[in-house]
Amino acid sequence: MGKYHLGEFEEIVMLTVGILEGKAYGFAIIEEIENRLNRPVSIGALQTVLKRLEQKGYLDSKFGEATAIRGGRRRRYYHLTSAGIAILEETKEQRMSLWNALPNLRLNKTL
Amino acid sequence: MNKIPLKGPLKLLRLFCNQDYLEEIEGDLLERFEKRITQNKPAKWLLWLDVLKLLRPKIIKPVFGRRKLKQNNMLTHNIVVSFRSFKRHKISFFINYLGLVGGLVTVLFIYLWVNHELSVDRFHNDSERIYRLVSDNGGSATLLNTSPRFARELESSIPEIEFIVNSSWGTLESSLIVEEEVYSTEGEFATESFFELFTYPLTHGNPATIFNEPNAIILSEKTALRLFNSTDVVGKTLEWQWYSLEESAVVTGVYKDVPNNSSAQFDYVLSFNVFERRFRDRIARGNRVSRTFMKLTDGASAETVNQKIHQHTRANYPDFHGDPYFVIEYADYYLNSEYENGKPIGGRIELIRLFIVIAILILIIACINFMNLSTARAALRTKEIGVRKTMGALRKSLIFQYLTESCMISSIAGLTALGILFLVFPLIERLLGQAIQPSLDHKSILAFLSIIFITGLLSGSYPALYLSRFNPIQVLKGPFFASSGDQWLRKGLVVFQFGTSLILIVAVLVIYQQMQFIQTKDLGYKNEFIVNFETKGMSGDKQQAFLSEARRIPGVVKASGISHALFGAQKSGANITWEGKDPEQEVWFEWGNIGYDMLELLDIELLEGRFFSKEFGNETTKVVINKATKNLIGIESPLGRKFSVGENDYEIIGVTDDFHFQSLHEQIKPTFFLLNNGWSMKLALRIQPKRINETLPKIQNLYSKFNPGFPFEYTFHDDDQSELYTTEKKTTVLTKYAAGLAIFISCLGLFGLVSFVTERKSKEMGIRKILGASGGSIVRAISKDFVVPISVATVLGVGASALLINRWLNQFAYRVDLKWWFFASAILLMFSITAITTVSKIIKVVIANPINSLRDE
Repeated sequence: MGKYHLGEFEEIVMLTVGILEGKAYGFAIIEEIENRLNRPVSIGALQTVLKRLEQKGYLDSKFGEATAIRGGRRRRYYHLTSAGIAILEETKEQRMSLWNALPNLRLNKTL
Repeated sequence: MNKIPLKGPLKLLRLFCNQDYLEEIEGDLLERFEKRITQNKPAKWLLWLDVLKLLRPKIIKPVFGRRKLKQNNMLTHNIVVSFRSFKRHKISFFINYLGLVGGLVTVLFIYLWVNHELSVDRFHNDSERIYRLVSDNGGSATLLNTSPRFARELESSIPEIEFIVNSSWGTLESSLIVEEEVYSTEGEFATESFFELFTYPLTHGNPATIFNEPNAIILSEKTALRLFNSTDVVGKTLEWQWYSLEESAVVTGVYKDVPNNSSAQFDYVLSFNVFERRFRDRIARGNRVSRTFMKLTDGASAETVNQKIHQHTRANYPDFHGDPYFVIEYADYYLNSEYENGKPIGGRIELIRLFIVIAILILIIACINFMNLSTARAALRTKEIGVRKTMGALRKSLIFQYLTESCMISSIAGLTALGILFLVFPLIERLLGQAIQPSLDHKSILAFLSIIFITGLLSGSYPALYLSRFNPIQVLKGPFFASSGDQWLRKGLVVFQFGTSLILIVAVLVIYQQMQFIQTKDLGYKNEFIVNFETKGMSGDKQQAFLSEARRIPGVVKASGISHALFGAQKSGANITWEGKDPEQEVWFEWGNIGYDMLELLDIELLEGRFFSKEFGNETTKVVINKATKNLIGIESPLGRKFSVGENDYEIIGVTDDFHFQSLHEQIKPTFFLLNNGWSMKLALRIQPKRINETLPKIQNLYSKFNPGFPFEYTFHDDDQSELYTTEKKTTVLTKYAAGLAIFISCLGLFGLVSFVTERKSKEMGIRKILGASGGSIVRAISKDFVVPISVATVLGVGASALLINRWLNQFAYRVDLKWWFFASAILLMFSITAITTVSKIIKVVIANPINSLRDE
């Protein structure tokens, strides 16, 4: 078995969690992704990915304070673990090495 | 905030969502809902959609709910802890494991065997309504033969009998001939309802009409394939031959091969019409030439039927003095074949009981290993238990933990045992000389699982209760000492193990001695190097010619014939009379209808008079008796006296010494010999021991010359005779392996205990050594814990084995006596095995440098 590789959506979620810096809870992440990337995200899809990433040890979470807007329910805040940061770095480096290896980027522009 | 429209979707969510995620997800949903309302979106519908999109495997709650999940976690925890404990204490794990494997292999095999034995003849539909007619000679022998005429009378006069089936007096070793090719087969005759009474499913032929042909024959699939190379053989014809009787028969059906767990094994069934035609006279006379099976009506009791049989006999045969008839359950006969006055007194069931007892004993011995080692090790685990209890573990959960551990080890052992059983199954079948139908239905699997589970519970019960009892404060505060009561129990278990082992060792020795005794006892005649074979198609004249030619073969010493199977035939004493006989006296005789030279061939010793000889003209009115008959008659010189069998008078011409033709279970019976008219059922040749290999082919050639087409099938007389002891042979095999296994498992346990004790006492021994203890006193100090229980076991074991084995020997009329050295050598054997087991551990302690054990602390 090889090393675990992040999927595209997983990567986006992790990056968003990173961006939100300690204020990343379910609905906030959805809003952030929808605002920045302009793509719709369902709660189901997000929760699935969050639980998976947490199981893998890339994310960790804790309950926050109760809020009135949520009918008294607490938020669960997610943050990156060091393993999560490591795999993000690695993913980025892999991408970069691929980009660097690409011979002629101008080709894209002319097309 | 308007909450009412949210009720529906959230209710749905709570139905399926994992409890752990619910709060977070509900919160997110609500937040999103509020946001959408501010954006003037159809928030309610989108909420529904969101909830539906949450139907994902990761989010849906586990099927078994939350509470179950927690217990599973506990179980997982226990299993992990068990594995760790196995890893840490490898030696005691392997001792427990090997012991349990041995015990479980035995138990599982015996389960299969017993299951097979109990299923014999039970596969017939309504088997509890199938009965057979037997008679009782007042002794222990049950006679299966019946008069077909009498049976028919019963069928018509007793309403409880639904219908009867008559068959021949047993399976006949006969030949089936197809296009000149002769096949040896065993089959029987039966009346129409045979396939209705017994469940041998027909694969070809119409059950309603198969017996319509007067010469109908129904073949087993195997036989059909052998004879015709096909099972679709209805309508084909073949020749049937049994000695001089020949018939042509037409195949009307084919049945599925008879399963192993049927006590009747036969290759074909021939219509009873043929039998009736051939034996018309005897049947008309009321001779007992058949066997009778019947189906009783639903709810009818055997007792009523027996009473009515009795009434019928009294009413119609007022002067009947023969053996009274009664019915017994057909399937039950296999296990309880011995009856006394109509009550079952035993049979095969005794062997089964013995097997079961031995299996249980061995399993208990294996369980004891586990109990002993776990409680002995308790001292090491007290801290663990103390900590667990302090952390709030209930006694219940500790018990559960230890039971998990023992059940796990028994399951691992059970799996191994199944594997081993699978491998050695054919081997054991061969040892037992019996094909076993292994039943692998859900019932057996359930039984296997429960055996394994019960073993786990049994071996874990005591340790679990014992270990969980500790007071946490005491065990955490200081060193822990087992109470004397627990040590007593442990010693008691060792006593049990070694006592049982000793009993089994003595049993092996005595049974072996008895079998030696049987094989080497002077039987009064020489049973070796006698070849028997059936005369099949040869007429009397031909037989005589064959015998005189056979005598000319250099390796043949003597040759003669006998009119039925070599002995075993009995004649009631009611119609045997002699001068001065008490008319009321009834004795059972053995008798032989023999050819010239037979007694010389058997090398029976002559005490008075002479044997049959051609020099004296017609000898068919003469009789030779044995010493037991002479003693019965009670005359000093019986020669020349009259001896009558039925209507015929004979003159006594010789008296032989007593000899054992029967098994040594039986007393020697009064026996007499008559000369036959030249036709014999079996021929016997005595062969020079050194020339067997060259002589047998010559005999075969001669046989095929006189009996063309018939295969030459012979047996040696001593082989036939050793078949009288099949039960004993099985007992021998069983006890031998059981004793080996028992002593092996016990020694495993002892080894475990010794290694544990030496480990625990290493400091004590180190101090003793420093203070100047000698090697001898160290050995004494360590071994005193074991010597006492093993000595107690020896005393108890000797007593018990003497009682039990004497009971076993008593079933033989001729037996070895118990001698002191049987016990002495068994004890010696056990002590030496024990010594070998423990010596390495003890030596290690004796030569160990005390520094090593005292260095730390």
